[in-house]
Amino acid sequence: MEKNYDLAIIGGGPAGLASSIKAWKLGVKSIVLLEESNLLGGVLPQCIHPGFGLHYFREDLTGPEFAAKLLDRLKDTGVNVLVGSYAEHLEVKSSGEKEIFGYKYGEAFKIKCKAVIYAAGCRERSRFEVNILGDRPVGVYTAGEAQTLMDMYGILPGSEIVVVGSGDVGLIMARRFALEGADVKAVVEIMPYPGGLTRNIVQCLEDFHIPLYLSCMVTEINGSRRVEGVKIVRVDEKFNPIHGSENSLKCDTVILAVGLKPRVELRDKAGALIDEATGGPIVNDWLETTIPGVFAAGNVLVINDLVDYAAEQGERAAESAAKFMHDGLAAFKFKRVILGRNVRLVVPHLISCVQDVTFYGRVGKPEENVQVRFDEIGQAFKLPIARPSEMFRFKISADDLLKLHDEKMVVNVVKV
Amino acid sequence: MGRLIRVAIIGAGVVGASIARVLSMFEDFEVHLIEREADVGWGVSKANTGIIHAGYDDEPSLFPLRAKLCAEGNRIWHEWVKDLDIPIRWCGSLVLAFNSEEEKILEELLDRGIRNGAPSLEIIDHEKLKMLEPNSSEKATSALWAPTAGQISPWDAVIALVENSVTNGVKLHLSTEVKEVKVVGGQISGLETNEFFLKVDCVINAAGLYADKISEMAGVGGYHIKPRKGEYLIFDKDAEPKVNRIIFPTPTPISKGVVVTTTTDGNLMIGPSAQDLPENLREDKSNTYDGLKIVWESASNLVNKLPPRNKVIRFFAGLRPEPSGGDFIIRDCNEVFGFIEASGMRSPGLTSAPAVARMILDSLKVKFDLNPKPKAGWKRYRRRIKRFSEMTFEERSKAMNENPRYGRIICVDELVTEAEIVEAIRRGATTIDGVKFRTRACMGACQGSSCMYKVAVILARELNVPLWMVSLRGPGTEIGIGDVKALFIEKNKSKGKAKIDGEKL
Amino acid sequence: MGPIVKDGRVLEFTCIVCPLGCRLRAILEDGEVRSVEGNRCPRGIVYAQNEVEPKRILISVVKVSGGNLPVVSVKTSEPMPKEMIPEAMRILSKVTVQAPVKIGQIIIKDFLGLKINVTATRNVDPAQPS
Repeated sequence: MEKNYDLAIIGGGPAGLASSIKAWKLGVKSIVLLEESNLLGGVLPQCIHPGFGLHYFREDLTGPEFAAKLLDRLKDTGVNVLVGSYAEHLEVKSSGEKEIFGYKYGEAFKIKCKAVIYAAGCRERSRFEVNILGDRPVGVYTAGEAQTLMDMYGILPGSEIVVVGSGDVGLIMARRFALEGADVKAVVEIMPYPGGLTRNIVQCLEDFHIPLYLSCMVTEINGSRRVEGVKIVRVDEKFNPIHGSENSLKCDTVILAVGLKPRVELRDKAGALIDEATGGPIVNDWLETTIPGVFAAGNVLVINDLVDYAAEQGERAAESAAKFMHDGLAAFKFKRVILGRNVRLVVPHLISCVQDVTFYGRVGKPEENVQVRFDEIGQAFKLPIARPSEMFRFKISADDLLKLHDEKMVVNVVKV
Repeated sequence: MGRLIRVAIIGAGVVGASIARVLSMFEDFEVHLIEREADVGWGVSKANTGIIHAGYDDEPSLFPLRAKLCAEGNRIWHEWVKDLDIPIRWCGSLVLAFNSEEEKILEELLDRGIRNGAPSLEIIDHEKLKMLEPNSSEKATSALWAPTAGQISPWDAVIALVENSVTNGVKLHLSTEVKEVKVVGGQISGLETNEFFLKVDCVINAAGLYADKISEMAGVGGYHIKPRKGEYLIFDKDAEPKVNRIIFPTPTPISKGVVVTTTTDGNLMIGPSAQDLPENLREDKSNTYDGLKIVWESASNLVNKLPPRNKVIRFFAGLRPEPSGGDFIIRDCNEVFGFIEASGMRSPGLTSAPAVARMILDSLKVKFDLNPKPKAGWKRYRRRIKRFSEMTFEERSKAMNENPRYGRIICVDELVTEAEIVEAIRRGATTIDGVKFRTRACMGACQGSSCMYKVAVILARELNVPLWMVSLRGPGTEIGIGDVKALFIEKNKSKGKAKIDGEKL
Repeated sequence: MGPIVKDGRVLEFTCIVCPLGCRLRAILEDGEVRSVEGNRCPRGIVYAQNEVEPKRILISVVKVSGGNLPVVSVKTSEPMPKEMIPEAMRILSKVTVQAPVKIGQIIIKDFLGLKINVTATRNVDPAQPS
């Protein structure tokens, strides 16, 4: 199959769906949405807990409901949706035309288009990436994998659970197992503070009397065929194990919620530059990657806390793609956004200073009563509490950005 | 032809599978290949470095079998990989020397290699070393270059050998554990297993880590197998720099040392460590802090640069069966008529396996006074599952036309399709690992977190079992404990029971 | 740990209105909050008043027969008393619905006599041969 479209959107999760709908509304009438699995919605259909959509829909929704709302809107568009369609690689012709090659049941496809929005999401980190040693038995799952098994395919991985990582995903899975009658032995967190929202500490752990071990690390998984237990050790401020603090905990299942990685394989082949801090592509304030006409949104761009942000980025990328195809994006002299004190990452990386920009970022370490400062343009935003696990998001107007005379703008998080 | 000789080979590792293939060539044998695991090659064969050695390592006066069979095995593998379509890179190996003492050892290795019949060995200087392997350490002063060494995929080798053997009439018994070796009047009469009793005339002991136990069951014994653990690290496919050749340090009397190599699938791999375990720890394949540290440090010494640590996608460990005598134990046991040892197959066991198989054939000829008759219609060739990831765009289109499931990508990292997975199941995979080792699904950076469940769903459909009963590695490794409400079923039951008890009271 | 009743008159818990997570002490009288300590803003008082009898939205899945997926996600239409959740889960474990299931479809009406419903939160289509 070979087809021409104006816009191709890769990934049918929240970012991809939101950008499809937005692009259609903006008058792009030739759109194809490519989704690898047979189901639209990305990770949403399996995230059955509430807490989604407070910003985007101004409603508290479960994941599947959030997805359903987007799908309802998609139905009213003429976007061509191809599920079960894996986009393997992207080529950019010297003319600027893009070609996407991929596969679906029974055929290869080639899609020629003018612009691409890449919204392929992320993947979960494995035990090997966080160096959990010991045996390699069955019963070790990432949180999302366990969600898929339980809430999509209806099977229970085990009955005695240890969760590694206290981010929201880990906390929510701890509750999920507890609800289905499993004995959740502990949530183990290497940092001295929990990774997730206070609400989730209360409603996922305290409600179910699940212990949270802070400054602790799972060092080993034991069990020759099925998981039989884990070894836990306390760590010092530098995350080195404290000798003599080793403990064993019996369990039959280990759930890993130890971080996400943007899925950038396809873009890598096309040669977009990657930011080491986000793991995603470097983008300007149009969310355009270093390949002209290729935009990024959602968790492939930066790991978001909220699906609402992913959808918002999807819309932003759609606006940019529409403009790119209609008037073209002029060759601006972009200024660089620099990571300053206690700032681990910021998106976008480059700004034109001709339009409003929403900045998403994370701090490096937790602090209370801080300001996120953009000193070159005299902007500052208060944060009563700043934690690496909680993304900050600020919108700065074009008028303010115009005040930037340097070649760069430093973002600092400063105690007040 | 005389009577049919019933042979049981215990252990479907590379040694047992090689013997099965060789015996399958003749009309005279009815061959049973017995494996305790749910799939073939899951013992020693699965977790090793996968090197087809050139044959310079082993001193013939100390270890005559190792010395003789290694070089011979290397020659046979050159044919077998073609017959059986086994992934291999004949990339050659380099033993690096860093000082004059080590250079002296290289001279010894060269001399030994020549005596063992390893061809084309050469000691090369730093300059030529850098030409052959740009990523070799700057500090290496010289190296022994062995162009006939190769990097094989060890599990693919076993799968290929077994598939070919089964095609040629060998009967494979998986998940079958030998409980007793029956000897009547000094002669093998059969095997008692957890599944059935098998009447045989001859037992070939290729039981790897448990060979000493099997030998004792037959009343032979006289040796011990000690497990020696080796830990490994594997890097992501895109991790650079890789190495073109297999790089060894100068060996010590115990071990060939930590190797830096690139697997046939293109992953840089480093290992193994060498840790002797007590005899009772024959299942301990755990990774340890110390083991991986040794591997990392030793490997770092051999090359200019390793990829960053965060490019490691998996670590694992394997056990090598160290025989108490040091040399392979390959002999026809006169104590018990029909019991033949093919054990103690430590390194270079993988390399030597085909030569061992031929040696076993020879001893069977003598034992049973045979002039074996080649089997009519014996199939020499076997082809592996066609990999979508290795096809050209045109081949892919054609494959999808013939089988639309080639268009369904299941494992994104390794570009594995549903068609390949279904084919792996058709060829005998019944577990997730079985599919993984036949197709590479779940072997990429995510290590299965994105695709394991998809593989499981296909297995459940093809094997017609509930999803939760699909296993990673056979019984006891099911991916779930029941449906999502399983724990309530028990609770509801026990609640009901308590009530009844209460009423009784 | 969840709210701990001390002397039958004091409740202690963490406020979840904002990320500050104030540790609240609510002093009770006749089952009503008389005063709240530990809050850094007025929203803490409202939160404390609601947590006297904590309620939660319950989410789970129930089994589906004849569907393209074996389970459908469900939630309670309103928050329900926290202490009734174990009983609620036991009841949900015995429920099987027939595909197709539509999002918003009521799975159980007047759940546990609470005048709230258990509703489906996603569609499950009838099974199709693969």
